[in-house]
Amino acid sequence: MSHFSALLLFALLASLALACVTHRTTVERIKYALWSFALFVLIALGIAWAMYPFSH
Amino acid sequence: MEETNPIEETVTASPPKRNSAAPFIAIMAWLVPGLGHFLLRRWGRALVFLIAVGGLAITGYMLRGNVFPPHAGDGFTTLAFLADASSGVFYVLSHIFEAAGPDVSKAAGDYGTRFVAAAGVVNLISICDAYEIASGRRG
Repeated sequence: MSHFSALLLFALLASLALACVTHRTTVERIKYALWSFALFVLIALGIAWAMYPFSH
Repeated sequence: MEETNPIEETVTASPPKRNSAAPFIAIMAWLVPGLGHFLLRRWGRALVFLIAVGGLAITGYMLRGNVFPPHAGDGFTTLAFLADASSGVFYVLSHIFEAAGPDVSKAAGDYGTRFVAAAGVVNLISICDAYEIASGRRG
């Protein structure tokens, strides 16, 4: 499993759980899960790029 | 006819009825992720938590992450054990899923350690949610 696929899987599973707990209707849960998933991935990529100058 | 004051009615409203089975539901929710919600007939939530916790835990074992034992010594590893053990049956079966043992010399093993801990933390959320539903505080 690559680093990126591990990130996607973690973001997906965590987002599903958080959406289920915080929202009541299916539509709200799906919207929140997609939003949460996108934030997980974007923030992780942002932090990765922010650390890149210090990696070598 | 006596008029009622709506503010007084709001203030004197009775608290939600406590279900004495709530602690039992919480224990079941810890033991098998999703079981607490299943017993409460919340089928969707039960399935989601089983998939989320199980998926995180099994992925962590497949990545050969570190699984912390109960008596590891320092505070950090004790916290890590508490996180790992919160996934219930998946922690108990870790030696089956991770027969080759941990390998944190690679990045994958490091990710695996985080996945296993995250599985336990997500199950803690599930336990709290099941308890709140059983207590009548949530719908």
